[in-house]
Amino acid sequence: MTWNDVRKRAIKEYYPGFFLENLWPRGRGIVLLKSVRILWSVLVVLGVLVYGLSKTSSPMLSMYVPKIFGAFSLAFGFWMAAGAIHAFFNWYYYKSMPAAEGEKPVMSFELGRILYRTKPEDILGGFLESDEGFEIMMRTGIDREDIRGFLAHRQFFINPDALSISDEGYTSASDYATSIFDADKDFAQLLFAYGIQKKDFQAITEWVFEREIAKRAQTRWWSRSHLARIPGIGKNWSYGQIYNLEQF
Amino acid sequence: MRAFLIAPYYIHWHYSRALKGIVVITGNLMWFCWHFFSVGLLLETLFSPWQRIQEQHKRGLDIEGYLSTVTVNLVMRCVGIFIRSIFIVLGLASIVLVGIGGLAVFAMWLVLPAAIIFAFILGFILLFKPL
Repeated sequence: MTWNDVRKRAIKEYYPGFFLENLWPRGRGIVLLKSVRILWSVLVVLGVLVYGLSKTSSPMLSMYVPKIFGAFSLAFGFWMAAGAIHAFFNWYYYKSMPAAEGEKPVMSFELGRILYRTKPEDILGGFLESDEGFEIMMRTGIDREDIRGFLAHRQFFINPDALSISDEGYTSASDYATSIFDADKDFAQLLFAYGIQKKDFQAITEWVFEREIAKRAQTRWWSRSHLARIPGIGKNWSYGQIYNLEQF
Repeated sequence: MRAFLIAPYYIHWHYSRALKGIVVITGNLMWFCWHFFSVGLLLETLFSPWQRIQEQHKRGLDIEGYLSTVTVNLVMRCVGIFIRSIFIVLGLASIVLVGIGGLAVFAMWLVLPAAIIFAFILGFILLFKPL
């Protein structure tokens, strides 16, 4: 498959997720949801309090009750809408996880995101300037300034139609990195100069992406594999407690 | 403007995959309650002594010792039955509660778009209505 084909596949698979992440990154989305939830909780408590006071000691406060509940209604509506959009994004974000509701992923979300953000005229730049690409280059031990200098003074740019990426149903990040390594001899030379062989580059890429996937798996608390890690309470009651072994 | 381009994706997801997701997550949480309260295991070992604490009867004719062993073992089994029963009931109750919660979320999810529109309209009316 050419680079363009793989990119099309990534976009077909994850487009709404990429679009939403570009619009509003996931971390900021979580903060926004929490803030709005606090806001409507405060408003509902305040509304009930003011309503109670207006019925007992301060009847003048009654005119503020509809205002407070109006603000609550707006905040709650916004929270519901933001929550639904967040869940929509999450569906794409976790789509590539193994055993995610029977879906068969074509590539990881992270690799898809790199492909989505990469301009066809600068494939290597798109890869190295991504968060994962940056992490990979840090792991290779190449000086940041050297990478910047290399990217700024390159003569060769990979032709997206000439870049062949192995296709066996699933495109891994290391497949993609290997294709770039093979296609861009100058980049391979830069890595060689630092003693990084092709297999090292592949291994670093795999490690970085696997770590990202593991991080994502930790946040997916509702998955059966995550829930299964919480031990049941009945085991010790039925079989007895293993005091000595539990110390290790 | 481009945000509207993903609206068809959203509507399709909201009434298909998201509903399936709610069912799957509810199933996972119900499974977790079963697993966490070890309902299956506690049922299997309902009549076993509590934490396998039991005495072994020494050989020879010692009626007092024999009765003492039987009493201790009986008490440990009764304690086991009592505590396990409580947690079996708690486990089953939590499974039912999670199931009801899942059904409620499923029902609310169906009307969520309408609820959001209603909340905004109501909010604007209440907030901007003259005092």
